[in-house]
Parts: sequence; C-alpha cells; structure tokens
Amino acid sequence: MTVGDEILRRRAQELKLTESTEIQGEDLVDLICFTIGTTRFGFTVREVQEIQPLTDFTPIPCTPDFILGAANLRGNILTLLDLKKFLGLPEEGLQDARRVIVIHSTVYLIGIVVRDVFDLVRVPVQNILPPLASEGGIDSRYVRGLLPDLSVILKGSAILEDPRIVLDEEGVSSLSKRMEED
Amino acid sequence: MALSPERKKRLTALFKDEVGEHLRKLSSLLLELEKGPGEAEIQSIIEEVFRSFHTIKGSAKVLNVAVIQAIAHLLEDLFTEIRKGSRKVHPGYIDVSFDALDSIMACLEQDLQMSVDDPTVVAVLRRIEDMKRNPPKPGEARGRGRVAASDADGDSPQGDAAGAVRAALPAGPGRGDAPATASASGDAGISSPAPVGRRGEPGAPGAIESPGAVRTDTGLPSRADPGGPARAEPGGQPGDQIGSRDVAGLPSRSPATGGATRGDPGSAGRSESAGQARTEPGLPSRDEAGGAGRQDALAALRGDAPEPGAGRGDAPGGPRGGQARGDTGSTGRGDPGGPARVGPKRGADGKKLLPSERLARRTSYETIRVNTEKLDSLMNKVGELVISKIKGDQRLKEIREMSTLVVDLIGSSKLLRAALPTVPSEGSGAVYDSFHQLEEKFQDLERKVSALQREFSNDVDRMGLVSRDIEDDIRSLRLLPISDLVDPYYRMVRDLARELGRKIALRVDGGDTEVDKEVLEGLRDPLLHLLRNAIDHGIEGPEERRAAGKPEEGTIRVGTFQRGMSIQMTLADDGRGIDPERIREAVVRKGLAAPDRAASFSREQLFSLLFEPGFSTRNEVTEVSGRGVGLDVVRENLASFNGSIEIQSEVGKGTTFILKLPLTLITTQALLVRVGKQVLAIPSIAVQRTLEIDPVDVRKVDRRHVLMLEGKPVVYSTLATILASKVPPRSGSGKIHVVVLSDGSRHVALQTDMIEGEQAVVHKSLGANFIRVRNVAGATILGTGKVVIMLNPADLIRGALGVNPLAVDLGRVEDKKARILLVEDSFATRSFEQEILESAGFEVVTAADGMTALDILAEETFDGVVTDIEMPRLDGLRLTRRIKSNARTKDLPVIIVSSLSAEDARDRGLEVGADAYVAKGEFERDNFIKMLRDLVGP
Repeated sequence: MTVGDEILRRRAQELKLTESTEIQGEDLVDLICFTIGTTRFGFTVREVQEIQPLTDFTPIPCTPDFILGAANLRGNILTLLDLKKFLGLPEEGLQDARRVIVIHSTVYLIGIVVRDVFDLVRVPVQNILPPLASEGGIDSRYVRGLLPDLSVILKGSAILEDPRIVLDEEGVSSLSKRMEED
Repeated sequence: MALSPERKKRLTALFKDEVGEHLRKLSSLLLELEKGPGEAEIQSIIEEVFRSFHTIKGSAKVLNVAVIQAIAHLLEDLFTEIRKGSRKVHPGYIDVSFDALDSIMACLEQDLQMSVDDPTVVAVLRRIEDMKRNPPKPGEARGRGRVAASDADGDSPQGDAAGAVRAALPAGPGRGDAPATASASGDAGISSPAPVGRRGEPGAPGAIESPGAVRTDTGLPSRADPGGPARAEPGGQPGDQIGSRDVAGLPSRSPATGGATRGDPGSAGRSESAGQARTEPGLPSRDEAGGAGRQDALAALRGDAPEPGAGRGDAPGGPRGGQARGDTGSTGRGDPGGPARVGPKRGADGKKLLPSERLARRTSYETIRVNTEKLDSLMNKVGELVISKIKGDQRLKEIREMSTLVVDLIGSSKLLRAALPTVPSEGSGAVYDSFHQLEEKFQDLERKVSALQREFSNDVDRMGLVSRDIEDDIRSLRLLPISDLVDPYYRMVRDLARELGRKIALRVDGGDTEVDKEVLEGLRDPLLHLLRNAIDHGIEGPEERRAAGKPEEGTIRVGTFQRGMSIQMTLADDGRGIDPERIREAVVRKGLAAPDRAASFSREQLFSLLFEPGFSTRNEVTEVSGRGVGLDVVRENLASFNGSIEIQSEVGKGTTFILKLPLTLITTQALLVRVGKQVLAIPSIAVQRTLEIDPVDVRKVDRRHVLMLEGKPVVYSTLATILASKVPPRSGSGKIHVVVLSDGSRHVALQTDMIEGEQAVVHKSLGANFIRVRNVAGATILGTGKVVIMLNPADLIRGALGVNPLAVDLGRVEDKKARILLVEDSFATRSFEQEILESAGFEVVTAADGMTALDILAEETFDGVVTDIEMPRLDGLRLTRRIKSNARTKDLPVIIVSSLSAEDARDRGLEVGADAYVAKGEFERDNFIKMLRDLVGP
C-alpha cells in the first residue's frame, strides 16, 4: 500500500462517524467532493472526465435557465449546467464559481459549474447513507447517497439522462421525411 | 448523355470505391454467416447483407451499370426472403452470393464495361434464380451447379466431401463438351464458366476447397488442353495446371497431362460433374469474345497476377490460394513451392480463402474514406493551434516590452557612468570593474532579447501561416465537385421526360465548382424536387412548344458558380413559366385573402407565396408548382444549412430558381453583432445588408413596425426581443445598427447594438443534447478562444414576422379592445384573418406557430386565441392542450380554425379542450365574429 493510499484511507476513516470497520478493497468508492455556494456535493470519480478551471463562458439564448452557457473545452463546445437551478435549489449566485467538473455518459458531456473542488476521498461503501426522501429539497433520483458530513453524493448518470438535458423544440421538417410521407 | 469523359471517370471511380467497400463488407458478413452464428446474429447479418446489396443496386441503377444492378437486385430479393423468414439460410446461398460478389468485382475491374450477356454473369444470374426457385434442402451439398467464376470451395459443413468431389470433377465430360469452340481458340475457352474449373484434385477434397487451387486448374485446361476451354477461369497459362495441382497437394498428379489429371477424380465425382457440366452448358461456350478481358478481371479479382509470368513473384506475397493461380506462368509449373502449401493447408482447415482478403489485395488505396468526425477533430486542433498563435503574439508583445526595458536599462547605466567620477578613487577599482561587467552583460542581454524577439516573431508568423494552410487543406478535403451531385440526373431527366413524352435536355455549367460534401448532400433532395417540377410542370410537350415557336426540345440549365464564400446555383427551365395571376386566383380560391387584398399583392409577393407552407400543397398546386412536396419544404431544407431560394419566372419563357448556399459548412462567413454585452454570429449568407438608421425611420404600418428600404416596407424588430434577451435595449436617439436578413423571399430588419464585423468562423455543434433550440444554430470559437453563439436566420426571420411586441405594446395603449392571439403558419391566411378580426374591432397579435404563441402567451395577456391546426413546431391541438393545462391560461377561450375535415377537426379540437371550431371557409361569416364576441366579450 502506498503512502497516498494510506492517507486516503485515513481520511476515509476520519470521515466515518460510526465505529471503524475493516475496509475491504472492493467496498471502497472514490469521490470527488466539491461545493456549490455553501452546499457540499460529490461525484464518483468514474463519472468525472476532468476538472477544468472556469475561465469564460457564453450564455446561450432561448435555453432553460439551468443551462448556464457554453464554454470552450479544447476546441469543442461544452455545455455548462447550473446545478442548483437544475435541482431546483435556492439560488446563492455563482459569482464565486471557479471550476467546471466535466461529467460524461456515452452520449453526453456536461460541465457542472462549482465553487471549489476540495477533496478526493476514498470512502467505504457502507459509510454512504441512503438518500433521505428529499435531502435539502433535492429530488432523490439524482442522489446516490449522503456522506456522514452530509455531503450529497450525486448520481451523474441521472443528471445526464434527464430528459430536460435534451433540448429539442420540435424538429424542422425535413424534405425527405415529407417526401416519404407523400 | 452529356457526361464529359473526366466526369464520367470520376463518377465511375467513386462508384467503384463505394461498391468495392460494400463487397469487402459483404464478404466478411457472408463469412460470418457461414460460421453459423446464433439466431440473433444471423438476423443482424442478414439485415446488413440485404442493405448492402440494396445500396449497391441503387448506386448501380444511378450509374446504369446493368450487370451489377441485375446481380444485386436478385440477391436483394433473395435476402429479402431470408430476412422475412420465408427462407432459411443455406450454405448454397452463401456460395452463390460469393459468386455474385466475384462477378460484381469482375465488373468493377473491367471498368464497368461488362455486358449482361457475359456468360459468367448469365451463369451467376441463372444460379441465383435457380436457387430462388428451388431452395436447396438443408444439408444438401453446395458446390453444385457452381459457376466457374465461383470458388470451388465446397466446404459446407455438410457434405464437404461431396461438394469437393463434385467440384473436382468437371472433368472429363464437362470438358469434353465444351471444347468444340475451345479447342479452336485456345484461350477462348476461358470464358466459359465452368464446371471444369472444379476439376481439382478429387482425391483430396480438402485441397479442393482451397479456391486458389481449384481456380488455378480451371485456367489451365483452357490452354493446356484443348478441351479445356470450358472453364471460365482465368488462369491463362498452361503452366497453371501443374502448379495448381501442386497446390492442391497432389504433386503426383501434376505431371500428368491435363486430360488425365482431370480424369482423376473418383467416378462418383465424375458423374456428378458431368451433371454439372450439363446444367451449365450453353453459357460458357458463348462467350469467347470478351474472354480475354474478363479473364484478366477475374484473375485480378481473385488476386491473380493478371500477367502470366509475374505470378510466382507475387505469390508468396499473399499466402492465399489465389496466388497459386497467380503463378500461372511457366514458373508456376516448375515450382509448386510456397503457394502450393497454402492451398492444402487451408483446405484442411476447411476454411476458404477470405474473399475480403482477396479483394483487399487488389484494392488500390488511392482514396480513403474518413469519418467526418475525424476531420472535425482535426479542425478543432487547428483551432487550438490558432489560439496558440494568438497567445504567441501576446508573448511577442511581452518580449518587446522586455526589450524596451533592457534598452532603458542600458540608457540608465550610461547616465550612471556619466555621473561617476572619471578618476576612480582609491579602492573603487573593483566597483568600476563590476560596473563594466554589468554594462557588458546588459549589452549581451539586449542582443539576446532582440534576437529572441526576431526569431520568435518569425516562428509565430510561420505557425500562423502553417495553421492557415492546414485549415485550408482540411477544408478542401471535404469538397466535392457539383458534378458528383448533378451527373446522375442526366439520366433521370432523360427517362422522366421520355415517360411524359417530352424532350428535355439537361445542361450543366460550372460542374467543377467544389462544395462541401454536406452541402452537396443537403442539396440532393431540393434539387431533385426542383428538377422534377421543371420536367413535370415547367417544360411543355413538343407540340405546345412548337406552337409557341420554341424548339421541341426543352432545356433545363443548372449553373453553379462561387461567389466569395457562397455558392449560387441556378436551375432554369425554358418552359411555360408561372403566371402570377394564377397564383392570385389560387389565393382567392383557397380563401387565403379577399379578392381586393389579393389584387394588391405585387408580383414578387405572389411568387414568394409559393414558398409559404400550406400554399403549394399536393392537391392544389399541380398547376403552378410541385407535386408531392411543396416548395416550402424545399426552402426549409435549404435553410437548415443556411441556404436560401428565390424564384423568377416569366410566362412563356420559363422559370428560374436561384439557390444560395454556403461553400462549406465547417467554416461559415459570419457577421458578428452585439446585443448588450453578448456577441452573436449570424451566417453572412442570410444577411442581405447592414445599415445604420435613424429611429424615426421606423414606422408603424398595419400594426407592425416597419422600416422602409428602397421604397419597400420591411418588418422591423430587435434581436434582443427575438432572443428574449434580458438585456435592456439601448436607449437614446443615436443611429441604430440594423441587419437585414433574408431567406430569399422574406426579409426582416433587426436592430442590434453594434455590428462588429464579418469573419470566417468554424461552425460547431453545441453538443449531442442540443437537438433543436429556437434561434440557435450552433456555436463557434473565435481566435481568442471565446465561444460565440451562432444564430439560426430562418428562426430569426420567423420570430420577427410572428412576434412584434413593440406593436403590441403600442396597441395596448391605444384602446381597450379585446385582444386576440392569432396563430397561423401561412402568411397569406394570417394576413387575411388578421384583417377580418381587426375590421371587426379586435386587437390582433399574430404568431406563426404554436411554439411562438406559447412564448407570447407567457409574456402577455389575451382575451382569446384563434389557432390553425397544422403548423410547424407545435400544432394547434397541442397548443390548445398546453393552454388548457396551464393554470394561468386555462380559462382563455380557444377557437380552432382549420381546413381539415370538419368533424374530425372538431372532435380532435374538443378533445384537447378547444371552445369552438370554425372551418376556414366560414371565417368571414358574421356568425363567427358573433361567436368570438360571445366567447371573449366585446
């Protein structure tokens, strides 16, 4: 076991408020912890593609308010999500947003704007508490669980698979489609 | 046909590429199938095989390659049945498909010059047909009845032996018959399809399966043995015979003369082979003529060296049986060597030579297909490079500052030195020395910094140049000549004209103009539609033309030329033209406008109506424009990639459509405008002009804000309003910056806060989740790395025409009339209905579709909604449902106006909660107005 592992392990231990148990390798989960406003959230490392500094973004007209805008990710356009608005949480403003956590599924790539990424922790799965019915007003379908410090571990896939993410205002009729119908 | 040789060559090359690719794919699919995969897999393989044959057929049809078309057609049929489950997969089908692939390949190799009467083709066709008529019973050996052209690999799991043997024997009898001709002309025989080919080495069935071996034989007989001709196979050199035998692993026999060799197979085998020979009798002999060419082709196809002699050389290169045949030459004979081993080995495996491998060997990789995503990614990286270059410029600036600093330092040190006493005091020598060194170091630094500045400046410039070059190159990779699109239409025009008893010639100018592949693809449907219209309705019959003093033959001219970063395409016919008066009649007849209003429509307005949705419909418009789909869809299609269309027509002289298209879609010329703090891009192709106006130039006409441009009123709105931007519009009385957008027939003037200029930008997708967002076409990244949203001009135009809140606001101040939101997609109908409602004392706000209507409803209050049913984006029924399900608007009366059959529409309307239904024809009646008053109040 490397020193790093040891540190993570100790940290994980510290996070536990309950009495310590033996940590089984396969029972550990790596989490990226971050804050938006004053709320602490986490994603599993597997859901996160990368973390980038938030330099600049451009609002996109005619999109829902939880779409913050578009940013340049190495020459590609990355859609930025205002997670608080998306989850329907009270506004705290994003003035202090400094980083973008890029989460991905096979199809979509979305950037979540956060204030700070403060930790990478390895936590035993059994320490993750099941989501409450409505933890702090967050719909439980987006929540994987809670850490003992009450960080909300989000389900990236639920965000990426949310139909609201897909913006489709009735397609433009295509000629070939109409031709076929004829 | 008016195809120039170069174009034809180019098209042919494209076709060969495409079909070749399908052949390779088919080969591996068929091989997969042969392995006996699971049910589900079989289904998907069959599906793919079917689609490939279907595509091949389609392309062949366009290029009129009868051989390929016929073969692909039959196989498509065959696989359709398998796909539907009315047939089971049988090894025989796979064999016959391979034969077919070979024939198609042969045809490609012969530059598509193969005739449908070619015996090998006839044989393949016949075999497929036989196969279809008499489906083989499961377990029955394949190999049977195979054409020479096919592989001899009778390796169906069931009945290997039999197949092999059979194959092997073409032997005596077969050959015996064929010969008459054959003997006469040694090679001639080759063409014959032959069973003969199969005369392999009977004893070792396995060996036979090596196609190489088998095929080899075939060839030889032709020459070696007078009788031999029968085999269709290439071979060519007498030598093969032996070589092949060696290959097959039967050296002992090789020395034997052809005839004898062939005789070897077991009697059982022989008898079968005889049968075979009989089955395919006629075809072979027929074809001596083309023999040579085909022979080569076939040889090539199989991977043989076409020229004799060369054979051996190649052989080792490819371990496939094919080479064995390649050996043909005398060498081959001498040395059964390398290749020979291959044959038997494979045979033993029971595996046949992968046709795909054979094909692969033959393919010349002059062209490659590249996924456009890869090009996009490349383009992105160039974008990054450009950003690096810009950063480099920034660094250069910093170096310059540094250099200035150094020069200042040197200046300061000189001043310092001047201030020092000329005679050093005691003990200060060291200080002087240090000072001297310092000065020298400053000098050195200065030299180095200016050298750095010079070098770095060169580097950055060079980087800029190279990245621009790369960008251009990548762009050019995506360009194809217009002729690729248009050339196949020559034939379509000819056929369609003939069908209608007309004489029409298609002339193309500027076919070499290159455009982006995506633009080309996007043009396909619109162009086809316009051509069909021209043929169907534009150009008169010969008599009518004669009577009008025109040449009997009508002409459709398609001209393309590049203008800056856009392409202009004209499609002109010299037919009867469109009479604007007939459009006017149609407007009145369809109740789209009252006669007096219709009478005021200008010629341009009438023509532009042709592009209005609902105007040129299937039933109504046959007399003026299209069949099937209206011109509205053509326009929308073009708009989807920033194209536009205009129409000009003169009665008796003809009709011209003018299409404006972007040259490429990766880079677009865009106008950058500013709204509040945000910079937005509008594709330049949609921008008719930009200008500065005085606020007083905007007038209110007909409840809209209008700007008079060259004496014509243009609807005026602000970009901020359309984008629902929260930015307050700039106040003040200074000049206003206006962009005039046009889609060819409609124009709008949009107010912006600033026009920043025009530049070429790379169009980027906003991401997979952005399927369709109103007003937004995508984004681009400027040289600085800044993301800028690219707007969709078609939506902006629609938005400006549909929503005009400024007019609404003023209207509200004016009086307290009942406010009606009128939702209707057809401009003509909308104007007509608006007029009636206004004359009845209502205040009317219009929306061109349900989506826009919802937006307006969210912002303003109304007393009632009058809506059409059929509309783009959100139809009237869904709109009604949304209105009725929203707490704020659920009590709002909704009246549906539709031309749909009354009962149906009424029922559907009531189902979603509408309060009343009115047929379009009843709109003018007093009882409608009365009903409306009852519903919405005064």
